[in-house]
Amino acid sequence: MAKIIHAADLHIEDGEELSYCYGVLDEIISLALAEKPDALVLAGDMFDSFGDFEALRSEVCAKFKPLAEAGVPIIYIPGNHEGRGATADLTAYNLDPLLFAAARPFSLIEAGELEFLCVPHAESYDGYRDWPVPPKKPGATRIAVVHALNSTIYTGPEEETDARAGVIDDDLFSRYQVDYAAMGHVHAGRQAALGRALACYPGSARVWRAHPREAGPRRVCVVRLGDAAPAVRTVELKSAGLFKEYRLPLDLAGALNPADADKAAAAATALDLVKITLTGVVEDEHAAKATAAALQARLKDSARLAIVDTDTVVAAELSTHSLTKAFLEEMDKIEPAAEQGRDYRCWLLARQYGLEELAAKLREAK
Amino acid sequence: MISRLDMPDFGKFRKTELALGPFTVITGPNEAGKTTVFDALFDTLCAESRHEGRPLWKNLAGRYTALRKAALVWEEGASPLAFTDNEFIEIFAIRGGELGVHHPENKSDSAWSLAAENALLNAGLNPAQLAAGLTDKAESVRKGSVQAGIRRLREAIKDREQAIAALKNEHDAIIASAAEAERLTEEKTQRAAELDARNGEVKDLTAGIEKLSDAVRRAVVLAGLKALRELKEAREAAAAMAAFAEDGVPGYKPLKETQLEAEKTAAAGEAGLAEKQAALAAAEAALEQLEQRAKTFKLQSDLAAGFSARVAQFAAEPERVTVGVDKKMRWGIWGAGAALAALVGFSGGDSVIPYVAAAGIIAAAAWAGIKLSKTETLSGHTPEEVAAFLAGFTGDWAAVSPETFPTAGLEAARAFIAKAQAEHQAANAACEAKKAEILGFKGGVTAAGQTAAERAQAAVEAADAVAAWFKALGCADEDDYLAKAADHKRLAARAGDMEQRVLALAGGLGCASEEDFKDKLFAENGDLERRGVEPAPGADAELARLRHELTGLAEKAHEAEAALNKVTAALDTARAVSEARLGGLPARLNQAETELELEKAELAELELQAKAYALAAGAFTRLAETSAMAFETLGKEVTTTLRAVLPEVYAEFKVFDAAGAAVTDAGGIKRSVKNLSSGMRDLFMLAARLTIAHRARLTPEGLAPALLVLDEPFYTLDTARERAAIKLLGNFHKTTGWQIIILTKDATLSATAKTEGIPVTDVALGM
Repeated sequence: MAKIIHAADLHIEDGEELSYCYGVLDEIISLALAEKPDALVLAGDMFDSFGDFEALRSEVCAKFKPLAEAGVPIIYIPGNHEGRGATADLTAYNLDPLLFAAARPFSLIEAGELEFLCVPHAESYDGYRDWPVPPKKPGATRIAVVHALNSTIYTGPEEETDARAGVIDDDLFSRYQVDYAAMGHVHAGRQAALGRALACYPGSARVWRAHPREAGPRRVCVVRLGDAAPAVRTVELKSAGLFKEYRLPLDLAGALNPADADKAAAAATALDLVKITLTGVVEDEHAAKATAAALQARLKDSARLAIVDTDTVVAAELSTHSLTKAFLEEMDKIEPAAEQGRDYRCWLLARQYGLEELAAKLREAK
Repeated sequence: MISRLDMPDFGKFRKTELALGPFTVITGPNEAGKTTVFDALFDTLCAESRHEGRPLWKNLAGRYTALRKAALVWEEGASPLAFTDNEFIEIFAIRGGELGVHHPENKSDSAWSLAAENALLNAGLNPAQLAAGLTDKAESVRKGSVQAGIRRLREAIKDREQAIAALKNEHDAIIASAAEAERLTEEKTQRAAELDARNGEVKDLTAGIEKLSDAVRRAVVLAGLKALRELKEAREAAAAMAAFAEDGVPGYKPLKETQLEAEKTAAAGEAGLAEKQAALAAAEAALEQLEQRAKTFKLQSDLAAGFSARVAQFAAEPERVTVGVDKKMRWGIWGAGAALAALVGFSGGDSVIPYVAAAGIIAAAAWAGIKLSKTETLSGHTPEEVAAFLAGFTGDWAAVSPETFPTAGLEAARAFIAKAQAEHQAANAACEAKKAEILGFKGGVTAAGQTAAERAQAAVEAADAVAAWFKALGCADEDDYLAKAADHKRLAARAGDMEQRVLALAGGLGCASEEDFKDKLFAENGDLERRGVEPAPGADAELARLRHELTGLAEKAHEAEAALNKVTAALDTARAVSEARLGGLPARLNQAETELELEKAELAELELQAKAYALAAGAFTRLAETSAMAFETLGKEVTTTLRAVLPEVYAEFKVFDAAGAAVTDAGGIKRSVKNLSSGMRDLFMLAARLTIAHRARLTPEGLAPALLVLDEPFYTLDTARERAAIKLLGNFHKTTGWQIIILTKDATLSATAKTEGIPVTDVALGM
C-alpha cells in the first residue's frame, strides 16, 4: 500500500495575498509531515504567474525542505500559470528539493513502487499517442500528474476566461495504464473514473478569486494506492477560508435591511473572501452606492477581502405611488425563507421586474 | 375658470376673443367654427403634453397650420388648469353620439381606458394591466422575449448536443480504430503465418508431385525400353523358328498316308490271322466238347443196348410183337439231326468242313429216324407187368443220365433206348466231322500268318520314311512339328503385337519411327537416371490423388491469402482513421461542452426570469382582485347619478371600458351599454363620464378643480332626455363648481338650460 497527498492550484501570489497563500502552503506541508505520504504531488499552478515563480521560488523551496528531509518526495509540474509571461524555459530551473517535472511532453519519475507520469501543462496534447511512454512495471502503481481540462470529469465555464487550458483525452489514461490521475486546473473539486483510472481535481488549494467555482471548502486529496482501487479522502484546508457570495435586496430608497447586513458580516471570517451584490430598483443610485461603500467598509474588518457590487435599476418617484407600496407588501408575503437559493434569486428578480413594470407604466402615464 | 379664449390666428378665426362664463353654451350652425373652438381649447389646455408625433396632435396639425395662435385668459385669482392630451380628450372632453368611449381621433396606446385607469386607480396604475404586462413578458414568444430566448436556447442546446455527439463519435472512432489497428496488426501476423504455412504445404506437395511424376516418367520410359527389348526378343524368337514359317504339311502328308495305309493293311492281316486262330481254337474246343458228349452217350448207348436185349427177351416171352412207326419220334430225330447239322454247318465259317460234317449228321439222323421210329407193341403182358419190368431199369439209368427212364410202356422204353443209341452214334459222327474241320483250319492259320508278317514289314518301312522326314526338320514327330509350327506362329504374332505397342508408345512421344523412339527413351532414361530418379511403376493413381490434394491445398492457400488481404485492407483503414491526428478534437469537444454548459446556464437564467415575471404578475393579479372594489364603487356612483334623471336604473362596470358596462332598466332587464338605444346610451355615457371625471379629480385632500368641454353632447336625445341630460349636467356643475363649456348647433339648448335654472353664458358663433 502506498499513500500520496495530491494538491493543486495554490496560485501563490506576491503582494497582499502572499501571507494568506503561505498560510495555506504551510498547512499543506504540515499535513504532509503528519501524514508521512510516499509522495506529495503538486499538480500545477503553484505560482500565480511566472513573475511570482521567479520572485518566490527560493522561499517556497525552503519551506519544503523539512518535508524533503523527512523523506517525502515532492513532485511538482508546471501549470498554465507558471508559464504566464515566462521569459525563460521552465525546464532550466532547479527547484531542489522539489522534483520539478517540467520536461515536455512528459517525464517518468519512479519512487519505490510508484511511477509518476508527469505531464506539464500544454496547450494541446494531441500527439500523446506517439509518446514513448514505457509500459508499467509489473506490480507498480502509475500516477499521472496532469494540469489540464478533461471533458469527462468536468465541463463548464472556466475560471479563466482569458486563456483556456489544454484538453487531455480520456484515452491517455487507459493507453498508459494509469491508476490514479492527479489533476490540476479546475478549481472546483471533482472526482471521476477515466477509463481504468480514478481521476481527481482536488480543487484550488486556496480561494483564488471571487467566482462561484471557488465556493465550498478548499481541499487536498489523500490517496491510498495499491492492490485495490485508489481510495481518496479529502482534507479541508482551514487556512484557505471560504468564498462567500450573497445577493441582497435594496429598498427603493437604496437602503439595505440591517438584519441582512448583520448576517453577512457575522458569517465572514478573517480568511474569507466575501462578495455581496446589492440588487433591486432604487430611486436614487447614489444612495445605493453609498450603502455599498458602507457595507464594504464594514466587512473589511471581518473578512480577508470584501467585494460589494450594486446591480440596481433606477426609477424615480416610484415610492410615492400607492400601487408600489401595495406590490412590495404583496411580495414580502411570499419571500422565501432561505436567502441563498434559486427561489430567492427568483423572488429578487420578481420584485425587480414588478418595480420596473410599475416604473415603466408611470413613465407612460406622465 | 377660463374667462376668455383669445384666438389671434387660429383656423378661421382672426383676432377673435370669446368671453366664457362658468356654464357657457357656444351656439352656432355648421361651419360656424365650433370644432375650431374645441381644438383651440385642446391646444391651449394640453400645451404641456404637446407632442407633434402623436395622432391627436398630428390631426390638429393637419386641420390647421403649424402656426396656431390661441390663448386662455384665466379668471383673476384662479390658478390655470393644465391637462395631458389623453386625459383631456378621454375624460374632460365629452362627445355625444359615440358608441365607444374613446375619442375617435385618439388612436394611441394611451387610450381612454388607460387615462381613466391612471386617473382613477392606484394613483394612476391598473394592477391587472401590470399583471398582464408581466405575464406577457413571461409568456410572449415574440422576438426578443424571454420565451423566444428560451426557445432559441433550447434549439441551440439541441444542436450543440448533436454537434457534441458527432464530435464524440469522431473521437471514439479514432480511439477505437487505434485499438482496432493493434488487434488487426496481430491478426495480420497470424494470417501471414498461416499463409506461409499453406504456401509451404503447397510447395512441399508440388515437389513431391514432381518427384513422383519423374518416377512415374522413369517407369514409363523403362516400360518403353522393356517393350523395345521384348520386341527384339520376340523378333529373334520368331526368326529362330523361321523354318517353321512355311507349311510343311504338303511335304509329309503323302508319306504319312502311305504309312497309314500300310499299317492298316498290316492290321487287317493280323486280324485275319487272329480270326483263323480263333476259329481253330473254337473248333478244337468244340471237338473236345463233342468228344466229352460222345463219351456220355456211349455209356448210355451201352446200357441201352443191354436194355434192348432184355426188352426183346421180355417181349419174346409169349407175346408177339407188333411193329409200327412212331412218326413223332422219327420227325424228332430228324429235327434234332437237322438242328445239329445246322449248328455244325454255320459254325464252320468259310471252311467246307462243317458243311461236310453237317451233311454227315443229316444222313445219320435220317437213318436213325427211319430205324428207330419203328414201334413194336408187346401183347400178352399187362401194363403193370411192363411197368414193373421197366422200373428195373430206372436205377441204372439214373446213374448215367439225368433223364428219367420212361416206364409207361415198352414202346416208349424202346424208343428211349433207341434214342440213346442214336444220340451216341450222332455224337461220334459229330466228332469225326469236327476233326476234319480242325485240320482245314490249321492250314488256313499257316497261310494267314505268312501274309500278316509281310504286311507288318511294309508298315515299318512306311513309318521309317515319315520319321526320316520329321528328323530332317529336327522334330521328334508330327506333334512336335505341329507344336513348333504353332510356336512360330505365336511368336510371330507376338512380335507383331509388340511392334504395334511400341509404335503406339512412340507415337505418343511424338516419335515417327521406332529408332527415334528408342533414341528418345535412351536419352530420357539416361537423364532421369543421372538425377537419381527411381522408377515408381503404378503410381499414377497416387499421382492423381496428390494432384487433387494439391488443388485443395492451393485453394486453401488462396483463401488464406484473401483473408490476409482483407485484414491488411481493414488495417490500412483503421490506421488511416487512427492516424488522423486527434487534431485538437479533445479541445474542440471540451469547448463545445463548455459552451453547452454556458447555454444551459443561460437557459436556466431565462427560465428563472420567466418564472420571476410570472411571480411578479401573480402579485399584481392579487392586487387587481382587490381593485375590483373600485369598479363596484364606480358603478354605484354612476347609478346614483343616473337615478337623478332615470329612477330605478342600475349601472355596473367591470373594466374601464363602455363595453364592460351594463344598465339594468326599471323592468329589471340588464343590457350591455352597446345594446341600448342611442338616446339611452348617451345618457348613460354622460352619467358615467361625469362620474369618471369627478373621480379623476378626487384626491385625498378633496376634489381638485377642473373643467368640462362638451361637443354636441345631446344631439341623439329627444326633448325629454335632453332636459334630463341638462339637469344632470346642471347638478354636476353645481356640485363640483367646475366650468362647463358646451358647443352645439341646437339653438334651444341654452334656453332649456336656463329653464333648469342654470346661469348660462351664451356665445353665438356667426357664419
